[in-house]
Amino acid sequence: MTSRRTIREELGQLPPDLDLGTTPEKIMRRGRRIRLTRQGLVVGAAALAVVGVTTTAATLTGHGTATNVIHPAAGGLNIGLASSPAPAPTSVSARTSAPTSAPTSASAAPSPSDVPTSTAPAVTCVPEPQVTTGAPPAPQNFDLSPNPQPWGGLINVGTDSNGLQVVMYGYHIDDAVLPCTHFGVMLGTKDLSTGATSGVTGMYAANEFSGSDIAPGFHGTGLSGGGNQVLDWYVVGYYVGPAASISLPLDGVAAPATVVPWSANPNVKIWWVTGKAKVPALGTPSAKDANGKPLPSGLHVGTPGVG
Amino acid sequence: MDGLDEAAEGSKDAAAAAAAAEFTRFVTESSPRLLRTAWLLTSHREHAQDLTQLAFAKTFAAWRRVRSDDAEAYARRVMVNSYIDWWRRAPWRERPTAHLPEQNVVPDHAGAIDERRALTTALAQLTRKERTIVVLRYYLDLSEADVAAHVGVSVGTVKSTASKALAKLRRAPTLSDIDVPDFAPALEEHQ
Repeated sequence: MTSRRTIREELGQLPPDLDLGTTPEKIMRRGRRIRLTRQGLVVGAAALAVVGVTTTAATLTGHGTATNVIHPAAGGLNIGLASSPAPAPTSVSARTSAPTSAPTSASAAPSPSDVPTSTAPAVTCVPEPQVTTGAPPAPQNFDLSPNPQPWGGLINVGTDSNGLQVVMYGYHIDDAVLPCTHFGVMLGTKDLSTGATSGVTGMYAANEFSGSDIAPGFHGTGLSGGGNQVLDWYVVGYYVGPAASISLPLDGVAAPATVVPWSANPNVKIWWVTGKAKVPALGTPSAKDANGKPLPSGLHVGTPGVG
Repeated sequence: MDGLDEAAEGSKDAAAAAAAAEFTRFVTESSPRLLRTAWLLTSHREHAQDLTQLAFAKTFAAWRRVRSDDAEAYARRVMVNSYIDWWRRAPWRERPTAHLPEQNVVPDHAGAIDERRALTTALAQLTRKERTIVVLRYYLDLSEADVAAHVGVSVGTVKSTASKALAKLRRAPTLSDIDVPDFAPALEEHQ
């Protein structure tokens, strides 16, 4: 007990000087928008129930929206608090132009209450330039828009044990906190709740957070334990470079990953390993080129963490 | 009828204004404590501001329901869950670092500054999970079961993670003599 009190007292001394960085009025504006979003979710779920769309309605309400409406603080692995369904990528080819230029800042202007208070640190991104050409708008606030539009084509991962169609795709990141990161890869599910076959709901986002997002090697490797009613586990990430094969030790035994070039930048290889049973002990991934020659792992290979 | 409508509308406006004034007072009074909690979770000034603003906004969204209860406890819970959600789905939000993210210590006795700096350094070297568990368990004084429920791990994992984290914090002079229980290693749970 003495230790706990001591720690609490010491932590309570830190830091002595902080300010909120905004006004209560702006916070209230943001809060009203959150409230409206929740009300919209409730109305939407109720409407689906009334029209008797039994299977699809169960999918929609079952993946956490109802819980989030009642308990806004509820956490979890889902990103799927989709206040608005992800737009269908009706013209995927239009979003797959080769990334060549500096950030275009194509995102819609945020309202004042959504503008992050953070300031971009002065850093140099190597290699440059970064890639955002052809990107859909990035979410201005992940909490309000947690379901970013796919950038590039959808990659079919397969059907999970719960019968849901799992996909991977790139998405646009435009965040002052991450000046060298302009895209990430998302593990998600086809949005069956709306009846649309092209809509997706993000489940697990993986991206670089330290240094250039297109530096050679592994980036964003992470473990998703499920979500959106998905029962299986997935280790996902991407590799920048000529990787033809990637393997990941599972309980000490190398398992081959599925490797697919990202349509928006084929030098980016999206990869994943999945399983249905208990998550095994995960090792460090490694990559080889088409001739079987080992490739550099880069600065961020690490060991997959829990996502 | 028009008069009744106007009266009802006026009453509604007055209620909204009263709620806004009440919420403003709540923000003013609880900001320092919530900001400190957010900073302990993130070790980063701007992230702490973002997290606190988000917690307040979500609390305002539920203001009618929580105003008569312990609104600060509600905001704190929103903050902790939002932070956990950040780290799970957006790993770029922050990461453990061996470097001090910032030095913002007001003038004080020289020894105290050094001690706080050492503690800040030790705190910054914890992983997100370790820091979250330390803050929940030792700063917010939640029970091990509550911490486990918040973070989504077993009680055994809370114990073992807290033990590792405290061992790291002992590098700070002010905490060098704290007791670190010798828990049996618990299996990490992947959920």
